[in-house]
Amino acid sequence: MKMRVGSPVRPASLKAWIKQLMATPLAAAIIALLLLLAGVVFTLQVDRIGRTEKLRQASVQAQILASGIAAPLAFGDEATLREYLEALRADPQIIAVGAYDATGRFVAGYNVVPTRLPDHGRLAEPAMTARDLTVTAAVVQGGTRLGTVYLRATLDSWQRRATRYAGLAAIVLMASLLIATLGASYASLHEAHARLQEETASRQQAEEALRQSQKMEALGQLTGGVAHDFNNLLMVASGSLDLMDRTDDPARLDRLKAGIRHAVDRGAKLTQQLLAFSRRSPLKAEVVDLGDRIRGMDTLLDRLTTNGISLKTSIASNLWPVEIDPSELEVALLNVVINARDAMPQGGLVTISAENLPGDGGAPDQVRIAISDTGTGIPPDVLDRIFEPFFTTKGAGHGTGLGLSQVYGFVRASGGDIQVESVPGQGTRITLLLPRSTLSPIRSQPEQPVVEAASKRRILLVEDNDTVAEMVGGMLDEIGYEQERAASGDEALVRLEQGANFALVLSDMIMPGKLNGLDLVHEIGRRWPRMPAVLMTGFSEASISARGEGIPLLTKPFSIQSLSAQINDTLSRS
Amino acid sequence: MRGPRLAVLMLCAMFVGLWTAHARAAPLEQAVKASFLFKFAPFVEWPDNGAGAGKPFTICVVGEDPFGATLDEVVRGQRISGRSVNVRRLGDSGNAAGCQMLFAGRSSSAGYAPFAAVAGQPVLTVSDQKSGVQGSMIQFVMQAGRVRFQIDEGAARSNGLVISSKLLGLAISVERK
Ligand SMILES: Nc1ncnc2c1ncn2[C@@H]1O[C@H](COP(=O)(O)OP(=O)(O)O)[C@@H](O)[C@H]1O
Ligand SMILES: [Mg+2]
Repeated sequence: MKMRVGSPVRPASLKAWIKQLMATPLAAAIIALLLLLAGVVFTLQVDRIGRTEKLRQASVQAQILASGIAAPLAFGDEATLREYLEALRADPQIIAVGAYDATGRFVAGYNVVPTRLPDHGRLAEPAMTARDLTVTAAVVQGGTRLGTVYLRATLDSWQRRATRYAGLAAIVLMASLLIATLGASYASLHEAHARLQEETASRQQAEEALRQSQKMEALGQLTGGVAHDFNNLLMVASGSLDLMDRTDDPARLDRLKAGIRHAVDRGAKLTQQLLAFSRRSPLKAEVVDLGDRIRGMDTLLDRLTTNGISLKTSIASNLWPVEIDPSELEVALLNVVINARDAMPQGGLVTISAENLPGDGGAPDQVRIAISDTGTGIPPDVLDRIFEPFFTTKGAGHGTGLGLSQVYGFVRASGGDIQVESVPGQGTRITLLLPRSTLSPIRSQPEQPVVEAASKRRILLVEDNDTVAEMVGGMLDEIGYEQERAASGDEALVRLEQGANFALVLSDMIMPGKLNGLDLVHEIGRRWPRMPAVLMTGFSEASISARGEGIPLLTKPFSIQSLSAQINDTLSRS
Repeated sequence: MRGPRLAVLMLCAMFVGLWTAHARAAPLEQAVKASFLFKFAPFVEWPDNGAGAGKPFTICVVGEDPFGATLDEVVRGQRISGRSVNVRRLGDSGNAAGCQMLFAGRSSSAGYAPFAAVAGQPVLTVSDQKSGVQGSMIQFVMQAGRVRFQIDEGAARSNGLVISSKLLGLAISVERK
């Protein structure tokens, strides 16, 4: 974790900073040291309080004695006086006591050798040395000073006090040691953890890159066919247009129009699938319906069925949902089908089938996808090597050996299994077994009818391309909206400022001028926050960020149905 | 030792004691009694103590004075509850007004009744058993050659005086009535 330079320390980074600080052995040592210091200070404090308390006790004792011996001292009753003084012998810590009369003359007392009593009694401040303390008290009766009392008591020796605190010291010392040890091990653990995280991150990055290159590799296998296919589509379209100029027969015109429509649809779909396929996306499991997904790949798979190869799909209805990464599934299927194609240089049949496989005897429910071909088959001696990365029999420039390793990785990551059956000379069957998910799949939206405009409302269409503008304008007319066109974002702002009563702004993404579509939507959001806006876009990075911001989006090419549905949606939401 | 002569006397009184048979004229015994006389004061509470503030505390001696200069020496420079101490000799029949303490010595005069004049008044009366004077609150007695005293606590109480239990505890006998 690094602190960003120049940015103020926010609570989050402060926390991080503290965490980082905690993770150094130095910090642990400092904490342990502080604990030790606190222990010493605490002990000294307790000792000091103990001594002060002792002094107070001695003062009270002297005072009680002084009050008691007032009469015997005044009237020279030595026997009584002695009784009072001797009573203090019970306390072994009192090592000297003396009673002195008003003139300071010693009257009675005792002392434990080698302690000595002062010859002369006088009042003095309490005194404390390392080993003992001395207090005096006045003998006063009725306001008259009758004498003084002198009392001296030992304090516990240094050694005795030390033993008293030894337990505490041991605990503090142990705690300090524990903290230091824990701190050190935490620090090394923290370091190891950070290293591990770094490693994981870089490995993830590498895997990400590998997946992408696997995809591009699969795609590369398709490109030749794709270019060819587009040429065919364009051929159909331009040819039909030519023919339309030469005929007035309405039936024939309709057929030609339908042909163009079909060609354009196929082209659009193919582009969509190629773009979606090549998109960089993080590994993300979704609950999907395998049938939908396989059917959605038809145009991609069709690219492979050239040179006498035909493709048959048989997908059981009501397939159970599975939880997988859809784009990985697509790559895996392509890899397997590409291998099948490669195994049939003289043509043949590829069959893709999918069905439910109910588990029995404790085995879980699974969905089975089987891809079989009528190709060369796999010789037994290489059968158990085909999943190895970089294992290929296709020679330099043809095979990479990465196809089946991707398939294997995908299946294992999805919690599934893979099986290969192959008879050399007859064909191969690859079976993917994916575990059934208990969740229900996110359905792709079925085709909707055109949603007619509820009322005549004005829409500002922002589009730089005249043809597209004319086409989209026509669609809007058809749905039942009034529309006005602006050729750029800047022009659109001018129209909005003039205050023509627009209900919605429909804008292209990439446009000449200062503002692109996204900027325009931002500007509108700032100045006319209640004005809804819809963006039209081909596939681009910008569209991803627009989607991230929750801006309604139409992906080009779009049908009149989706245009009407999107506008209706946006208007009814605002 | 820098103490005055009195201290020497008292030292002798306490440690040696009085053992001379003919103690009547013994100066040591009288010195001790003078010292005791003064020291009774702190152990006694007089009523309306505040009224006498500022005026000296007065110890009166009626009849024959057995102490002589010793008593003056004992009280010299001393204070009782912040009041200076004064000794007044009344002779055989002086006026006892203003006295807080009244010591009655022997007298040869007929009808000698030293305490009659202060009956019912808060005056601490003291006498010596040897002198034969009766009716005092505190009376000096000799016991085993030492000066001791007995106390008539009832008399003191009825005259409004409170004698400290510390002093009562030291008396050889206490009349409580
Ligand atoms: N359907 C199949 N028929 C025959 N051999 C196959 C089939 N699928 C895979 N193989 C064999 O497995 C090898 C590894 O395949 P793969 O990992 O996809 O790498 P690549 O296709 O680049 O060689 C292929 O080279 C081929 O020998
Ligand atoms: Mg392959």
